[in-house]
Amino acid sequence: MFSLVPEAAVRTIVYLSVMLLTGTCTYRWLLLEKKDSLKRLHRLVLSASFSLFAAILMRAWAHTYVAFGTDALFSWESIQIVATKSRWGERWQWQLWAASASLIASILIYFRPRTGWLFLTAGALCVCVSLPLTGHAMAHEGSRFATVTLQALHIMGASLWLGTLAVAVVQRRNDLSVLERFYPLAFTGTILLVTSGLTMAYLYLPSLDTLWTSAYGKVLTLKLFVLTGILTCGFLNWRRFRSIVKVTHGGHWVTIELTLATLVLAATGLLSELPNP
Amino acid sequence: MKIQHLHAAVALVILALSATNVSAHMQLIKTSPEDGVNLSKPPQSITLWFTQEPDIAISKLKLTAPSGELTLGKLHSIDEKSLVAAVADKMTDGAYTVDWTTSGDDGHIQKGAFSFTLKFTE
Repeated sequence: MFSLVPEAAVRTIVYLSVMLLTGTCTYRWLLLEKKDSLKRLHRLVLSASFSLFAAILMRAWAHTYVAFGTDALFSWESIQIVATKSRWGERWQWQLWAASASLIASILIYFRPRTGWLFLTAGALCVCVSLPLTGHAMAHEGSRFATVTLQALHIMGASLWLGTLAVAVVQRRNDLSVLERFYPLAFTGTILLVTSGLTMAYLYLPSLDTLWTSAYGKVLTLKLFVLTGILTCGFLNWRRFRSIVKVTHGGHWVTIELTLATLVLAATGLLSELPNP
Repeated sequence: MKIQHLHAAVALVILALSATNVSAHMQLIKTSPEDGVNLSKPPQSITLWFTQEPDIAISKLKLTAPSGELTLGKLHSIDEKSLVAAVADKMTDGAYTVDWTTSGDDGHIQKGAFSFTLKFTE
């Protein structure tokens, strides 16, 4: 279990970055207003795409460590075998290309904003689709299209809801004009996230008791508990928004919601590295 | 619930129904020599069969005798889901352990070991 920690940690950073990246693109196209700070949005998207690129590179290193042990950590030959000659490496390269394209597009935004944002959005979508290629989704021979699509939708759902919320918090926007357009997005994201997540749980778990008898099931149960907390916070925020005419501040629930979301990402990172029961 | 959300949920259900609920993690099915077997003559090769195609590039087999590690030939497959390595060194009486490392379609690195005993008959 301990040997999984480096890969799980790097995977968590990948998920965090991709959520911020996709959330920023969603914010740019659907929520942006004149009073928004474009400078802050650019800084955020550049940081997210850079951390995504670095984390994807780190994945090859972490995978080499798990495969060949500590001796291989500084062996270029071992890293090369994992990154370019293994089946895992062939699929990982798709992620690296998508992350590189996103990084280049986020730099392009400074020179040609509209083209940069268009390319970045396409890059973020490619990252969402390429991430399932090195995980559980690929092990379902015969139904890979369905499992890869489900996982990509799961990532997109999370990004649409929590990624966009995080960007709104960074942009310091909690006024009605933004919230009115954010909640339908969050609702769509939640439906996508929950439905695809439950479907994947049904596909990946052979029986209900594996939820508490296997390591994978236990982490999934923990993730479901924390997710219930996030959903509760989201619901309370939404109720607050509906019940008052003017929202004066974001409230503690948003902070708790985003903190719990980070915990869920850590659980998801570990879950991705654990074998299916 | 809005009609668009309902459509999305129906699409997800269809997607789920098109997938099958099977154990997706690669598992070791059998080995040659078998785990725990007593042999009277040395095996020509070590073979492992899995439920999925193992990734040869990152697979490793290690054969350890009481006197230390023995040399194995290059890893290859005899069918889609196997790992084979010829035993290059001379084997003597004793207990042997095979340590293996490989990965399946999900990319997870899997490790395991099995053992056998060799005792030449007169």
